Amino acid sequence: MHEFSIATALVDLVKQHCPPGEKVERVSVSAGPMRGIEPSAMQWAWEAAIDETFLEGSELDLKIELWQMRCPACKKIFAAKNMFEPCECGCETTSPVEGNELKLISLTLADPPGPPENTSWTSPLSKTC
Amino acid sequence: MDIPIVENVLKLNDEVAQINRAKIRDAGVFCIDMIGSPGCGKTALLETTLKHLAGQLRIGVLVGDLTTTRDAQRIAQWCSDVVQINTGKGCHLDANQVRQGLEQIDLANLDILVIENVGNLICPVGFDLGQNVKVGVFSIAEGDDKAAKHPYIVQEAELLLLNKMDLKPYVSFDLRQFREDIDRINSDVQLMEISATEGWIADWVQWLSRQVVSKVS
Repeated sequence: MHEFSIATALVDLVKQHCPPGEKVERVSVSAGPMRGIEPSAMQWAWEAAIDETFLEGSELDLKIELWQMRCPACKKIFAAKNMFEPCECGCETTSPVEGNELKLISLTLADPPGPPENTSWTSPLSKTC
Repeated sequence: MDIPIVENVLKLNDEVAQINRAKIRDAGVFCIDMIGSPGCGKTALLETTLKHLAGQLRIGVLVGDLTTTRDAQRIAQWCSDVVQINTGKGCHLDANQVRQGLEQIDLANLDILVIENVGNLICPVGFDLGQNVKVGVFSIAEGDDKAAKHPYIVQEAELLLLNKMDLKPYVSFDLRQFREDIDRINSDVQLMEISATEGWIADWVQWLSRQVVSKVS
């Protein structure tokens, strides 16, 4: 369950980047497939980690990247759903490239509250003019 | 409004790991983060290694477990510099736990520090502790597909040990397949076949000695 450690580390990192007083709507994270992050476990861990913090109610947008496989025969690097996926050239001994990234990509802040809805209001003072 | 950031999620852990790394380096110690699944023989390997190198290399051990001090007690029979770190619910050690562990160990007394991570082949790999190298431990009793199923440790390790080779006559293990998977994930990593309980650790001991020599020279 390294997802919980990652979620708590994420809360601390967001705290460093969030402008004071702003409300975070969404936290976008990108993870390489090497990391072995289970999306549903990560969502659960996120809910638990943000409970009673300034991030409570915010959404985690987690993107698990595809594998990047290198073909030793045709040298092509291609995206794949599974590790060791064969190359379209027929070669079956492909190797994974990198795939261990774990990055906070962006924060989406809530829009600031707009002007009051009742804009037809006029000051009683104006009647005296 | 979107604020683009693009920063390593474990940045704060990695910053503490760098502090640990500097402390270990300044003491002239070589540090290993040992990672393997529960029961692969990490503690048994350390016991045999400590027994074998007693009087030759000074080895300290930080040992991480969810609970109990059993591993530390086993290791303490062969080594006085051992600290047990209980992680509670944590399935891996982090840099801050190691920083606290380092406060209880006199690095000036050591040539090598082994951090025996919590038994787990996935979670510990992503957390930098301040080590020089990661060493992955597999055992043939676990099956020959474990490297392919846990590619992250294969990718990150400098050395892989395949333990329990004495059980080879009794288990079905395709060594060729295991090696081929490793080679496809990380063609630079070295693989050594060992048996901690039988004392077949000559390659591992030589490797340890070489690390210390290259650190000194």
